[in-house]
Amino acid sequence: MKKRAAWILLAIPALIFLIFIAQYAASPVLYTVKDDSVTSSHQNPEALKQISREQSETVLPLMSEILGSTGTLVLNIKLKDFDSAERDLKEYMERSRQLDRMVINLDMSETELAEFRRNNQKNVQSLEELLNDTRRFDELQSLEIRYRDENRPELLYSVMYEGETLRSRVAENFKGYQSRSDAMVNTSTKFELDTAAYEESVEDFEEIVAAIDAEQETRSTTTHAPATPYRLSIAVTPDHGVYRDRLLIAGNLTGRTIAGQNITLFIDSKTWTTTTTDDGGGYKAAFAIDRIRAGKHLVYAVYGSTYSDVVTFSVLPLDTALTLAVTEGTASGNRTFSGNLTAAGMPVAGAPVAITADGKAFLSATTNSAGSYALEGHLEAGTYRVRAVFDAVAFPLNASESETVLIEIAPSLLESPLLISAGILLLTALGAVWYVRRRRQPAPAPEEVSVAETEDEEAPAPVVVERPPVEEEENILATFARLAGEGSISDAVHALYLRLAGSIAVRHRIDGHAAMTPREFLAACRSISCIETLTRFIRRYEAVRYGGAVPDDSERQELVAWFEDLMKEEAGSD
Amino acid sequence: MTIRKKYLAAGGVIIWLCIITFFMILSYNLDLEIFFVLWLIGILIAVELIDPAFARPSYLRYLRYAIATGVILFGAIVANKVLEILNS
Repeated sequence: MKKRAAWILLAIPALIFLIFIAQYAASPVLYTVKDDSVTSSHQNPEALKQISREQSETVLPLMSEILGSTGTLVLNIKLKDFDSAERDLKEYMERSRQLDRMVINLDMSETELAEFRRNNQKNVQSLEELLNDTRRFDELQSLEIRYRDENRPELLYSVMYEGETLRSRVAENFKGYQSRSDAMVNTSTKFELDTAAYEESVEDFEEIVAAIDAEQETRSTTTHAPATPYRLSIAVTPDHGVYRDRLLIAGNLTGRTIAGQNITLFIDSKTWTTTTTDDGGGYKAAFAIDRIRAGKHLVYAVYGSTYSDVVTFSVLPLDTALTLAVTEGTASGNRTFSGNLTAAGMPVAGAPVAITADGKAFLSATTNSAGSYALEGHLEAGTYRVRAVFDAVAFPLNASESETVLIEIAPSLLESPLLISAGILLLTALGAVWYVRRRRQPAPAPEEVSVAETEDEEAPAPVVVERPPVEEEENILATFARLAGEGSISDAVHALYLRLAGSIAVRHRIDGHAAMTPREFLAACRSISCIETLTRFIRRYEAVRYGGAVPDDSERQELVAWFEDLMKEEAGSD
Repeated sequence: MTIRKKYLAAGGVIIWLCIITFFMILSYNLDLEIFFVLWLIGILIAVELIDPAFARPSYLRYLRYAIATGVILFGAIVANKVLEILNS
């Protein structure tokens, strides 16, 4: 009674506790620092610390390495150690790629870090161009020496013009690099990063521009136009334009035979086109601004070994507008992404457009002549924020992004949440059933061995001693009669009980019957059909075994009869 | 001896729960799911340690049913987490 009261006393508070805790089952997170804010304008400083710690552990060392890389890279370019600069550039690009991945994975796309990343991407491009241009400028010096030795003034003049193009390009490049410097330094200072190497790179870049300027200046003063009987003029009208504008490049050839002569036009030292002079020696060609970077460009004309002056024109960047529409695809899980790219209302043809899902580019398309693009792509089940992005330096157009489109891909039947939940629950339920019903494997009985000691044998073989015959092996009733005849009636009834209990326990899967008292065993056998006979048997057994009663012959026969009835009953129920 | 083991196991599980609570408070993160899973692990270990080889005390029999219920709840938590990941 006492035990039952204790159980009830324990069960009531447990039940109350479970009822209280059950209301939190739907949202089991009771407290986190991030949620510890009374209003949306407040936040626990501990949560901020955690975020900044996460950033500082992963991103800040990488940002520091990136800033350091620019210093050594530009220094090596300045010292004209191009092989080392090439290696530095590769490392720098790899680190920048790592930063890009990290910013996307840590979802920092709207932070100052994202601005650092964008500026760094432009710096990567800038330094790659710087390396290529300075390397080419260095090669021009070798060519200049060779052509001077060979006394080939027309080739010297082409070297001079190419040098001019490179000078202009490096100077433009520097302007961009310098303009990003303040933003880079400010962001880095906020993150407490050392910007000395980066600032040094800006100074070194400036020195490179100055050195190229000086060398080119010397080259242009020492290089004279080859003496030819012709003169070639050139002009660009107008001297600036935007995407899709047409510039007129025209001039005159004067000399002895001027009609029908081929004039080759160069833009940024690369052959652009060849045109023919008219009867008066005039030539003209229309240049459509299309796939050319924004900025200053050089143009000159060549007729044989006659060079025109170098004239410049500027291409101004235009803002672009990009649209995105997402529709169902042809296959399950597929979506069709389509839209238009325009610049000041004009369609942009042949431009690359990247489709990003949650900041990661996963498809790329090219616009057609009408400025539109359409492509189909597959996405795994889930919700995505999709955007179209245009960012191509090859076009004189500013980068643009479309509006964000939220798309949801439903899972297939096999991925259905209901099926997955049911599968997991079924597995765990099976595990629970196995856990409840499992039985321990009984440890094997140790074999008794004795060593037969003989003087002749050095290593006597172990002899297995046979165990005495167990009761199961002989007729249990004979054992009962033998033990009763010897006067051990208590052991005799115990033998009967053990055999009976063992048999019933096996048949009805009663665990641990050997550890139970006869009463406990009887309680465990409540559901068997011959419970009344078993009750009588156990009452008599207890009286003999524990009460010390000595049954007379009729009582013994009665006990044996109950035993036989129970065994028959058990055998019949099999 | 069996009684002693029973109380030792109960004491061990209580200490284990106190340790879990202490570290949850220390990390400013009180999560019932984590608490429940760690309790289940603790009780499974305790039961395996006190379970006698040739007998099955009645208190262990009832405890097994409690653990089996815990395992099913654990399955529900895992299923919920899998769905959260799939939907994210």
